[in-house]
Amino acid sequence: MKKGDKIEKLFNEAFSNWEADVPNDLKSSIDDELFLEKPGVLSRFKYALIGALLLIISGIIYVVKTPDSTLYQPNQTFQSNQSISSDSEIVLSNKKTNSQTASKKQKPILDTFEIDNNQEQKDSFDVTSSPNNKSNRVKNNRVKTSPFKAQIIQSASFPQKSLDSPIFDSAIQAKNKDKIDFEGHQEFYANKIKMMLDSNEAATNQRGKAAKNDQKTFTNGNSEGQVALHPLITKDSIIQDSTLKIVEKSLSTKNTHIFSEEIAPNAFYLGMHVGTFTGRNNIQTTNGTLDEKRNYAIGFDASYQFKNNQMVSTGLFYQHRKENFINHIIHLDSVYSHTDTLFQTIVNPNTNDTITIISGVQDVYVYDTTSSNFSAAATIRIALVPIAYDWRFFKVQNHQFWVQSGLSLGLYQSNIASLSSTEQRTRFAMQAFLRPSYIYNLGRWRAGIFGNIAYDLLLPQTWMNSRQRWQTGFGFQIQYRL
Amino acid sequence: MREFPRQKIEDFRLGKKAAFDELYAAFAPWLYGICMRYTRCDSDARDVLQETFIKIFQAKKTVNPEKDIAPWLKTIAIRVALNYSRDQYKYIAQGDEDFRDDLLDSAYDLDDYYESKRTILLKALQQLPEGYRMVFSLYAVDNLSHKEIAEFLGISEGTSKSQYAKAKMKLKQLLEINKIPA
Repeated sequence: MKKGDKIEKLFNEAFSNWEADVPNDLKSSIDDELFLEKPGVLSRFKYALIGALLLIISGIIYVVKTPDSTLYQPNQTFQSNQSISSDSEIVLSNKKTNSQTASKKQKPILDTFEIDNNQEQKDSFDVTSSPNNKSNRVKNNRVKTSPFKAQIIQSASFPQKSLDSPIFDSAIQAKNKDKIDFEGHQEFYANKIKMMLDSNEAATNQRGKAAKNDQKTFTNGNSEGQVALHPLITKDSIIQDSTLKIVEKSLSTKNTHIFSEEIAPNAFYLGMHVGTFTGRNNIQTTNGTLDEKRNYAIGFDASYQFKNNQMVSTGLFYQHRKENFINHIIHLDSVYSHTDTLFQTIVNPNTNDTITIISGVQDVYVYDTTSSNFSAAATIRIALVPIAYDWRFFKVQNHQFWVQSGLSLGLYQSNIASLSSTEQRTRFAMQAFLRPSYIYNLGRWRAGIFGNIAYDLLLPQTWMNSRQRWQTGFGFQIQYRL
Repeated sequence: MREFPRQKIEDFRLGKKAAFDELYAAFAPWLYGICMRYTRCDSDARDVLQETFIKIFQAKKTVNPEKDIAPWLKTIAIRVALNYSRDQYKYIAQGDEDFRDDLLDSAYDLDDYYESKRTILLKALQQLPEGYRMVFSLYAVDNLSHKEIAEFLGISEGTSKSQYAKAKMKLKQLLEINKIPA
């Protein structure tokens, strides 16, 4: 028997069925590792999820609970003054002067606007540079001494956002100016009052009674401004209820020109989105780990809305994944050896390699004993064609919440030739996804944010071991209705 | 031949802890011996054995109940040991010159000398460079052919033979120092 054979026999006999004494505490360590409950993904992100849910719920409650200022208030009170204010009420006063009462002659009616604004509107409506300027109040003596105090007062509630109403547009634009041109408002209110008075006259058929010089007084907190109006028609001092409807309608704050209308079926949308995502992988292998970086995606989609709250979508998405697969196989011979054909593309350059030529027992070999690990980095490019079904959960004014679900067929291309000794080719894969999104509508445009949860039904790479992959992400999207 | 009842394998496949405990009790000493051969010390072998059983449990679905489970367990243990060697010894393993003559002088004191022959053999084996030790253990103890070793380690068959020849020379030197005929 050769010496070498004797060594083999020696070791074989010594170790072939050898059972060593296992440390006593090892089993408990293994049990802790395997069966001790660890915080899962959900628990790790539970605070973030709770926060996101609270945010969404708060947003929904805010949107749903916000009162619609355009609704008619049935408990409105009517007095001789019509009061309208930007933050609580607007007061319109139709008053008669002393002279009107005394002479019983037909005079232009005096229309007084008393606008009680909040501070922001004070700035806008202040016709003088000083908020305490009383000069304008002097000019209104005639109004103040009117024997007719208010006869009809209409109150209507307006939230602060009613400032966006067209009736205040010019005032807001004139903010911080020393003097404001109220001409637009004068004309607006004058026309409305004219309509009101015309209607009233028709109803009472008392045209020809006292007329007054038409004036308007803007009372704004501590300051009042008086702006002369064109003389209006004469009218009665009593305003019928029928006129109020006109006023109510004219003072509606509904800003229909920016609100999106309910889209009828058969509408087409074109859109795009950008986002970021990452994958969570579960790969069963004893000789490798997979590390996936944060990735990005961009996509273009076309949607067809066939019902008020349902759409189908398709498009073309592009994703750029960065997956780093670390292969844990010890490489015992030299990377310079012609026999080594594994991992042709990427070899760890930091591995120390020593090439030694020795005369072995049987032959001469070029070899080294470096234990090399190879990092096969995989950057994957993906083109996805998704087929999705969109369903709208709710729509409140311009706010909508959609959920999109579907499948995407992807064409994946890897930038490495082989991975874990398996050749990688461009191939198809399939992904199921769920995409909740919040969308804000502005005319034909939609913009919003979306989340994305996806599962790889068919992996783009060939794996020797099973691999499961979940994908999560978020992004921004925009759509345009054709 | 170590045997494990088929029903227990099925239970193990289902993830039942009781079956896993029995598997551990039946195979842990044997696998620990394997881990000792492929690592440099008891502490490393302990780590490898722990990782081995974790991998075994994680891969429970891949076991074939129709076949003997022992080779499957052994394969996982060796693979884990190879990975461990790569991770832990990479800064020491530098090729042929990493044969640790310094340890050769100090490894065998009088206490070691009077230890059992198996212990001395194990220490000799553990002092081999990683490549030598892997190939020698796979060939001489685990009875793999050079072709199988080449496939298992992802190396050429010629390289496996070369490593083995070199390992035998080194072991001979070590055993001669300890007066063990080889």
